[in-house]
Amino acid sequence: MDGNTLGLALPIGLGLAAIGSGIGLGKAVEGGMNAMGRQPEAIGQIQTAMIIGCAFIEALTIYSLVATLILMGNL
Amino acid sequence: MRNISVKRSAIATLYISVLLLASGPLATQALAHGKDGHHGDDPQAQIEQAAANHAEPNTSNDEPGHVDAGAAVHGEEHAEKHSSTPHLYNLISGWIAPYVPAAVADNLTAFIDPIYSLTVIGFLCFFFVTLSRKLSHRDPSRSQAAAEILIGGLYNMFLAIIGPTARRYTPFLGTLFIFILFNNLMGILPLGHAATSNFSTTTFALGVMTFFYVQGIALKENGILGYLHHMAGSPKTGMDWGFSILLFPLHLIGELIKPVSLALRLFGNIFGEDTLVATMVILGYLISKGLGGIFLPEGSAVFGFLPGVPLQLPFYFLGLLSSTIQALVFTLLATVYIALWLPHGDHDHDHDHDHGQDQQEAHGH
Repeated sequence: MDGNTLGLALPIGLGLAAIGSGIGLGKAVEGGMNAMGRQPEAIGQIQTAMIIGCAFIEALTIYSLVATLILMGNL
Repeated sequence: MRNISVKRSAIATLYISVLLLASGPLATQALAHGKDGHHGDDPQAQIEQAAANHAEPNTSNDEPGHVDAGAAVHGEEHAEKHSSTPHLYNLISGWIAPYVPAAVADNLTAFIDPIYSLTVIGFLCFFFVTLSRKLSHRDPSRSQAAAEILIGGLYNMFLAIIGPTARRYTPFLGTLFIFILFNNLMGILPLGHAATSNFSTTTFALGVMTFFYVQGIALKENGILGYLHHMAGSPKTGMDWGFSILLFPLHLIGELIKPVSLALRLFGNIFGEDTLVATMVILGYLISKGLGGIFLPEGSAVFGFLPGVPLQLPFYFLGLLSSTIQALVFTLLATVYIALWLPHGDHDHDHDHDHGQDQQEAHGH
């Protein structure tokens, strides 16, 4: 692909992925915080589950970042 | 007792802040744009090229002296190593490779990840082996207490997820955590290099190792038939068996994608973090150069020795945080993958199983 088109497309794609990931992370952390507020005695378990979920959500942005880094050589 | 620990932590804080502050100029003096093509080159010229390239990425394709073009001419064997992302010199590429013969330097740069991860392994082995020679119930040393907190915390975490059998899997999972954590932290250390910022040499190997470990446990705990039954989605009724034809390939792909996903996540995070720090170093260098252009006479010799503005300082703390979290996430996911394969562990569509007493404890996640 033309370098200029790619230079425009890569950051936009990464930004779109980050938007989706941000919304997902916000919802996940919101749920986690609510649960922790309701049940402070289960904070450890909720935190573990939340971090795992956050890792899965975050992975989507990371895939996009990896694709960007790979394609950046063609820029 | 309290005074001593306060004094020690004050010294440690001082040391760390000096290290962080010093790493700015240190790294700026030794900034690379690509691991190759700097034998006998003037480092300052490299910095300027990197800085210029960073400042005007859109026009860099037209420049004849562009770093990418030079590197492409320099050697094809490094083509896969080369990327257009900025990164800092480490001890080997910046301080050893330029001063040894080219053949040795090439080997050193090619094996940089194993060298750094072996350094970490050596340090950890030395620390834990010497520690375990002088364990004491009555009078535990500071390092023993620290190691007990670390390993006890990890064990409790695995216990909450896997259940009572967690003790069997703690050695592997705990080692995974400690190894990844220290490798990540090597990337924050000035002149260090995170072996985990390379997909093909380190993180994929870790992912594949975890894959075989998990599959081995799955086969051992379920038996061949139980393994296949589980892979088919644990069918019970006739309709379940019908659906199992669809579910089997899905589960197969799901198992095969797990190591790749684990490895990509770790690699992407650590690599992104290192790139961020390097970008900030370049930015700090550009700012100090611009300020120097205002306040210094034209062509002053001081230009070569200007330290960069330490813009990367906040990102070191971000790096500390994300290094720990990524090591934790890798380990936690490996733990969950094991827990999913254990016969009486909790499973999303396994709720009509007999609820054993470990079900309650295994419900940690």
